[in-house]
Amino acid sequence: MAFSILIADDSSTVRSMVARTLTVAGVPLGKVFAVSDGSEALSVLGQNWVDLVLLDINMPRKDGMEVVEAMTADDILKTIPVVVISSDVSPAKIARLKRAGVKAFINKPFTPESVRDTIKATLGGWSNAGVSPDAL
Amino acid sequence: MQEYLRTLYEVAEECLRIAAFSYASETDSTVSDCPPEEELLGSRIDFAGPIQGSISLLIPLDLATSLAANMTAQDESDPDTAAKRPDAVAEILNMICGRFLPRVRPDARSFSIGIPRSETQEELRFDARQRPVEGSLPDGRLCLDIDVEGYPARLAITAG
Repeated sequence: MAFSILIADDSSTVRSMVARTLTVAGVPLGKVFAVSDGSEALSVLGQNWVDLVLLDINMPRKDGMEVVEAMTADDILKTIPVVVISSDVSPAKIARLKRAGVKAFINKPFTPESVRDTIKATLGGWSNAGVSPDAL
Repeated sequence: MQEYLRTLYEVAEECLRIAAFSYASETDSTVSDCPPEEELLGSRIDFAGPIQGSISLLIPLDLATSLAANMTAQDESDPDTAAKRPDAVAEILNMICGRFLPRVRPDARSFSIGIPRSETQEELRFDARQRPVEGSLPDGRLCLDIDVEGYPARLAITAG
């Protein structure tokens, strides 16, 4: 099974890092969408099916919190799991995001293992048949 | 405030190692030792909350190239790597700031962390010329000079 994933972060460096980490971590990938702000994220979600959203919080033109709230308010989008990837994971923000429905948090900087384990837990796992464990 | 420098060093070392596969160590050399014609890159972030102030990172351009290449798994000679340098520096500083603040104030519920902003070559050269005395710059900022893969790097903070 291949997952379609949306990466939303205003840093082009981070978008590259996350995309590469998904591959290194052995996540079976279908389409990977990468956007730089919350408005673009919602636009992609409105036009494409996505299995998982990896979301930064501090972004221009709708921040991560606004994206989460918009998704929660939509009957279809609210079923898509959201994982926040951020350097700012203060307790108050985490609590607010959890109340809004965010499934998990990954703190920057992240390791491939932390990304793999968090996404596996969020999506309920996948089969890596044919992939050597050494690759992870 | 001096204990901030120890924490800042630990956080910077972690972020550089994990995000950019680059090793940092304490050093006696500083960006002030860079030749005047050497290009520099820098970024600054303002923050507010139980403590407020700013944190900045200043490094030579060649180190920025190395960090950008490592973070994106691209070749240093790739033109896209050069284009990503300012963003890579800003993001490393963003990570450092995000880890540093809760470590020095674990009791804090929340901080407001600003968007990283780039500094001009004039601002960078002015900053680079300042030599710290016992960890403080003439303008009062705390200063941490470290070695990153053989290059000098400077972190400076104001916090109160």
